[in-house]
Amino acid sequence: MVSAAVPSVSSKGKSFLKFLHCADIHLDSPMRGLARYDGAPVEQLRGATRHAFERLVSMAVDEGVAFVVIAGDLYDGDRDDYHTAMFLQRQLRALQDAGISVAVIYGNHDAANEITKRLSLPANTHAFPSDTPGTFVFEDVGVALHGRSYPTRAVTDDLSARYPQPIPGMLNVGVLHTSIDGRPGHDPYAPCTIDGLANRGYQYWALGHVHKRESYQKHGVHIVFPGNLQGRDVGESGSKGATLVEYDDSGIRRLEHRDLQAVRWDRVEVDLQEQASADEALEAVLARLQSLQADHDAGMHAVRVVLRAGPPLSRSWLREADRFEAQLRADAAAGSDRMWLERIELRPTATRSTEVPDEALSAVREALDDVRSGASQQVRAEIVALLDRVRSRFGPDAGQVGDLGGEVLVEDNLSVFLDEVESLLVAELEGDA
Amino acid sequence: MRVERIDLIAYGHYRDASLDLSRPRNGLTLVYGPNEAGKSTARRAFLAALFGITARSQDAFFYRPGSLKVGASLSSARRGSLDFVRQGAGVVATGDGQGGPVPPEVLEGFLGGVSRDLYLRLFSVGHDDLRSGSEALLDAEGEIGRLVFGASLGAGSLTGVLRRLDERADRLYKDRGHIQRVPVELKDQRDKMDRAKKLRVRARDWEAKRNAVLEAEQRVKEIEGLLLEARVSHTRMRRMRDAMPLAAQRTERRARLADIGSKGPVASREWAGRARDAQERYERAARERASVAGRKLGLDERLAAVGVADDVMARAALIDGLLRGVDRYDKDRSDLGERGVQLDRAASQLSQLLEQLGLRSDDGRVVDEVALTNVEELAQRHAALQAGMDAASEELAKLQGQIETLERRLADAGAAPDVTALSRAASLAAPELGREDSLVVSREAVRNLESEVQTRSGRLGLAGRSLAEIEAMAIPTAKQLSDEQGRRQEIAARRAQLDREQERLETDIARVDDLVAEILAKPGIPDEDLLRVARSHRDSGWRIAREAIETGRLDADSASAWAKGEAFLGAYEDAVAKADAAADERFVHAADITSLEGHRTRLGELTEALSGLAGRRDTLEADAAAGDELWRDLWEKVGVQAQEPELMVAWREDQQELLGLIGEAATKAAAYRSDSELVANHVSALSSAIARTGNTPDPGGLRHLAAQAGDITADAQAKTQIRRDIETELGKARLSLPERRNAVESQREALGSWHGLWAEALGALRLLASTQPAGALAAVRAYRALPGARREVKGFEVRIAGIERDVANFSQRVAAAAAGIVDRPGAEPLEVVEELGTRLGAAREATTRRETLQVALSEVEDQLRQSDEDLAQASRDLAALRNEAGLGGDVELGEVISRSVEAADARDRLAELESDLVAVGSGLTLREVLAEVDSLDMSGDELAAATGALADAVARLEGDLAQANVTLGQRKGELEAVTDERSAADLEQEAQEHLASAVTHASEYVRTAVAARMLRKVMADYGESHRGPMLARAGDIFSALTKGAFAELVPDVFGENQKLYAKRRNGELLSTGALSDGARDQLYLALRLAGIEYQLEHLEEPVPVVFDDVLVNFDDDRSAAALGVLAGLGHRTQVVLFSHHESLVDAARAALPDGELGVVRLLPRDHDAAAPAASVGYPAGADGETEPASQAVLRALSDASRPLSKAELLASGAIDESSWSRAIRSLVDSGAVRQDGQKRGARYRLET
Repeated sequence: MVSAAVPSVSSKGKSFLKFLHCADIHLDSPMRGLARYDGAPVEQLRGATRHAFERLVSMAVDEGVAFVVIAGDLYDGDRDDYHTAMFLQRQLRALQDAGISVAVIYGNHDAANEITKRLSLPANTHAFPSDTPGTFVFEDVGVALHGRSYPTRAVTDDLSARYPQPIPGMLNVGVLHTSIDGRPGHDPYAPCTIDGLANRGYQYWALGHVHKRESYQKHGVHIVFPGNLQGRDVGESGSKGATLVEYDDSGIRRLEHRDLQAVRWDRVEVDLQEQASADEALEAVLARLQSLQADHDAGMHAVRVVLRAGPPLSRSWLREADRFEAQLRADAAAGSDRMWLERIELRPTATRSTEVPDEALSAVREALDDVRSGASQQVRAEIVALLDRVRSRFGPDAGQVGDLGGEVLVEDNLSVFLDEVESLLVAELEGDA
Repeated sequence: MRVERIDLIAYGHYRDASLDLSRPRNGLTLVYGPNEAGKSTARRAFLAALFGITARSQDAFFYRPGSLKVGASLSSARRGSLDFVRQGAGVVATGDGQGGPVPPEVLEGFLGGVSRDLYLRLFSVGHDDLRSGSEALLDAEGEIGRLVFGASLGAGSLTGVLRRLDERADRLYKDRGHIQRVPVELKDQRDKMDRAKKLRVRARDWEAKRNAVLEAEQRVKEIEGLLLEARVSHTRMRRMRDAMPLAAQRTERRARLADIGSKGPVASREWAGRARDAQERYERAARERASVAGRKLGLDERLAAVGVADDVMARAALIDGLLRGVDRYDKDRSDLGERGVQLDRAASQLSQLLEQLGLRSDDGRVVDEVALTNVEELAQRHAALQAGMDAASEELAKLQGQIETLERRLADAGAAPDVTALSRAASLAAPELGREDSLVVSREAVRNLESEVQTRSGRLGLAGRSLAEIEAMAIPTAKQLSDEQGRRQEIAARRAQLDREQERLETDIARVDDLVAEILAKPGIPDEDLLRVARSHRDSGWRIAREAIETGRLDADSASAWAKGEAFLGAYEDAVAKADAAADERFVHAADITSLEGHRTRLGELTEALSGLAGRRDTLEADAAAGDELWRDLWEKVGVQAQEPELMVAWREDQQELLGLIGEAATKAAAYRSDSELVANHVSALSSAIARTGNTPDPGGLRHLAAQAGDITADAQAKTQIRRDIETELGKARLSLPERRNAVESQREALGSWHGLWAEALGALRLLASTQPAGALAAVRAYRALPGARREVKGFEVRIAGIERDVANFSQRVAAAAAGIVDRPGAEPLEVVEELGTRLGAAREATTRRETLQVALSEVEDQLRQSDEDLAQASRDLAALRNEAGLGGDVELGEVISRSVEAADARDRLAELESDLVAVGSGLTLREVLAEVDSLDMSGDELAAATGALADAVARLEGDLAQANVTLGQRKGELEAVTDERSAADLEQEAQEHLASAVTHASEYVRTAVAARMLRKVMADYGESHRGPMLARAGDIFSALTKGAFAELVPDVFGENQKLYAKRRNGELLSTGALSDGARDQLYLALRLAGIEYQLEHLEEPVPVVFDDVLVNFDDDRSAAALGVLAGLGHRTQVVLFSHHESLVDAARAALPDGELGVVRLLPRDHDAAAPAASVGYPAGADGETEPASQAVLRALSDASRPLSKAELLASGAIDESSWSRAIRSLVDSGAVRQDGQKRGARYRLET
């Protein structure tokens, strides 16, 4: 058991104390899926994970928290760059200068990272051991923190099972990097159960690993994933930040999520079925983007725009997608230098008209139906081979092509892909006629 | 569905106009509008009515988009009729359903569900479509799939689509491309990742650099300490070195100050300055006064020398007036001559008029205007009366000639024969002409049928049999055949069932065999007999042993034999042990052994089932053989060899057809015979009737005779008609004769009464009664000119007198001005005025000069007074200064001033020295510095040497410090270089951006590439399945469009790329690329028309097809052919052709039969009109009158080249009174014609 002195928050005349719980910082991890274009706010986007962490530090100081808990994944995989370490050190020292302690466990990403082994942490920062569970007691503020760092990247045991017994008379906080009983998109490391955690005798579980914010309350015990600090692709959209916890002698009083991201990811759907012309459509999309920015005036936005439109707008848009997208991006850039349009997807609402037998277009659709059903095996095989060939050009990155917005390059999505081909072809043919 | 009418209520420049498209019901409606008439607007209105007014309509220039209003009247065989009006998004019914909204599904029903896009693509063909489509034929290089698919789709250029897709795909990605976007982005991504990796910093490297910075900082601190000590020592030495000479100078300066004070009075530096200033002012004032006095003297002298001519100056105003009047005087003198000439000319004209009227002199007489006008009117009326007389005489002569000619023609015309009987015979024979024509065909058909019966009999193996025998054959019934097929199918099914069962059994046996083998192959499975043998052996031993126990004697032989010579007891124990072991072993493998037994039981069952199957198969085969035997017997009865039932079914069908053919042949032969007899009877009757008219019958048959009868009858009727026409005309001419004679007479009477009036009118003008109208009119003109000529002569006389007065007046004024000044008797007034002017100028110049000198003199006198005042002031100041310094009048002021200044300088220098000493002391007071210098126990040289040594030490240490700082800077720089924060992370971010771009482009690429691939496949498949009917139809149309120059379209389907060729009449094949532009246009039109026909077949409700100027590039022949083709399409659905070529209207009238053409004309538009035009489009009415009336008016105005009245226009003959009002109103409203004046006075002319 380790003891650390922390400044008494109660001396500031408050009747309760606060601490800050965050996780999954992934410092210096890049934003993914943002193809650059003219007018894209390139510079503003740099260093987003750092800016978010700086905001966290500022908030901790402003709120006068007693300590900060980081529940794993400070770094991102095996990216071994001491620049990252120096930045982290500077930020931890800033907390130290403000008299704020920090408790850290290392998660699966940290375990694989060289920096973890080499960085000497400032005196206010305590890292949990990886060989056995440990406890830090901040006596001044009446808190005992229990936790264990990952010794290796893949931990398949229930680490929480061997966490120490709670210390009576203190607020007992468990710090753990886990996906509990599994979460989509996250490796099932350090598996455990909500019941198991709730029955451990702690008042609060500060969890990490799952990037989406979740919280549970069972038998009066708070079990919280604060989510990651900064979204890095459109899959991590919405508000991102940390959980501010207020407590007193009787236990946890209040939890509050605080928005801290430097770049907010959003996915915006715009219904353009009322708009007749491309100009009106562009205006409607811009208005929607402006209202988005007004609603979340938090800094940079990275936005995926999904448009729902019917003919004839969808046809002209598909036919001249390059021009329309460039126009939309230029207009958006003219309206704000804080918005990056990640992708613009058009979803035609009615690709198939049933009103009248149009022989020639029916032939196009039937041909694509044959590919879908497998009746045209040879063509289907050709298409699959083409997708494979193109994907293989991405070498080591081929595996993440689908996640980066290249869904149509993945054979599993062949049906969606053929829908898009059909829309494009019909638009081209009708447009030309 | 048909569009009967389009109402342009408020659309484009139209207001309340209508296009009547109701005619023809089958054929072509041609909408003709010259340039600017609004043809394109009308076409858009057509679309707007059917599919809605687009939000940003280009036709909204007179009206706002929301106010555009267009209507239509539709009709459909299935749905009845629908009249409606559209405005904005609303559709309101008119006509029967007045006022109610039209539900969208109702209109869609009329349109057969065809959308605007689809309609535009498929059923609307414009000139541009034709051009681009024709060019696309070149691109497609005749590829059949592309052409056929393109025609069905209504697409302009599939090649363009393909090219666009291919180019886009290539731009994005190629497998080994270098400039395509995907590979470029991926390369950038990898480059940036490599650079990022290089920029990353390992922890160990960073720590080494940080330690180097700490060392350099330590070194800098050490040197700074040493330097501080050296600088303190050096400063003290330098201070004493600098203070020593200053202290010496101070002492010297104090001695000098005491010396000056001893020589005489000394004042302050300030007094000395003022005294010197006063002395200088006094001297300057004295010099100034002397100079000003000299200048005054010079001015006095120059003023005295100036002289002025005052008498001239006194008349200056008079002389200036004369000078201004010189030009006027000169002009008056010139005008005098010109006016004299004009007076002469006017007088001469007056004389000529008097002479013309026969007056010797002017008596001032004036003739009354009424009398003059009377003569004029009578003269004009005479010309009209004479022309009327001439015309009436000519008409009379013409009528008399006409009567003579008609009488002669009537006499020449002979009488006609009676053809009543012939007509009756011909009319009876007429219905039978077709019968005669069909006799040949009928005969040939009978022969063909008989031949076909023979051929088919042979094919069925019935060659030797008569027709009656064939008819009598007892052929097995259809049911028998069907039963036999059923029996065979059942046998086959049962065989297949047996096969399947056998296969299943064999498979099961093989599988169980495998399971047995598998168990047996396991290690440790005991032989199944082992336990039994071991137990049996043990039991045999036990029986010997038990016998020995019971008998008390061991049967040694048996025991030995059992134990095989071994000791019995041991052998028995061994046998017991083996049996137990075998039992144990079997227990261990009990499960496998149980399975094994199960398998073997199953194997037995399966083998048994297999043998049962063989029995069932034998039974089946026996049944099959018996059935086959029955089948053969059945056919042997009718003498035909039995084959498989399927073949026999076909044979039976052929035999039934043969029977039908036999019956048909007999029926047709009987009909042929009956027709032949009927035709012969009519030939006989007609021949005798012709002979009765005096003609010889034609021997060629019934048709020839009927034609001959027709000719004879027509000839007779024509002769009768000619006589009747001549008689009618002659009667009319004779009736007109008295009227014409009366007209001549009345003209003559009118001329007589005119002569009486003429003589009277001439008397009023005093002219001779014999004067002709021309002479009288000349006299009238002379009388009218007389008063003007008189006024002109009088005017010139008055103006000459006035000018002469002005000239005399000017001369008198000159003489008065010159009196006593210029004495030049006889000189011209102008010369005198010039002399006066010169003198006046000289006098004015002298006056100016004198005034200038007087001003200068006044200024000099002021300056002289000022100098005197300055001199007095300086003297007063000097006296006051002496008093202030207490100097007597004898003391030299200059010396006191010099001494005072010298003493002040010395004091200043002393103060400076002391200040320098304090400065050198760097913080010490003057006293402390002087004390330090006094205490110094060192010579100057020694002091300088010590100071130099310390300076060197300081300089050396400063050098060291600078070097140490440089090193520190470098170390810090190295550390900062690695702490350049985010460079690696930023590069990774950039790499991610390139990767994202590559993914985006790759996705785009596969979409585009697969779209192109699919399009090619669809075109090929579609071409394959549709080329037959579509190309055949397109070939027919193409042949018709080219007037047979091309016979058909030929697909070459055997090459790698299936191509289309056009076949000339002479058999030559041309690729699409080898066709002329015109022929290619026609080929494209043919393909589109075939596509339209194909699509129409698939629509529940046919829609109108619209063409716009598609025949622009067709020559006259092919235009006519194309009009025929379009009118042909008009039998399947409504066809509307818009054109701005008027010649097409005439061509259509010539090319299309009556009832297959409707023409709608649009009139030219007035661009300057402030408001839209009403009713500018007129359809050809039922009688076609309205439109020709307008055209006739336009033509007549164009021919006349001058405004015409209504009467003149009606008299031109091409328009009648009933059409007039509507035609002229529309032309004026549309701005084509302008109306000047109202009612009867109105004149009309073409608007230019």
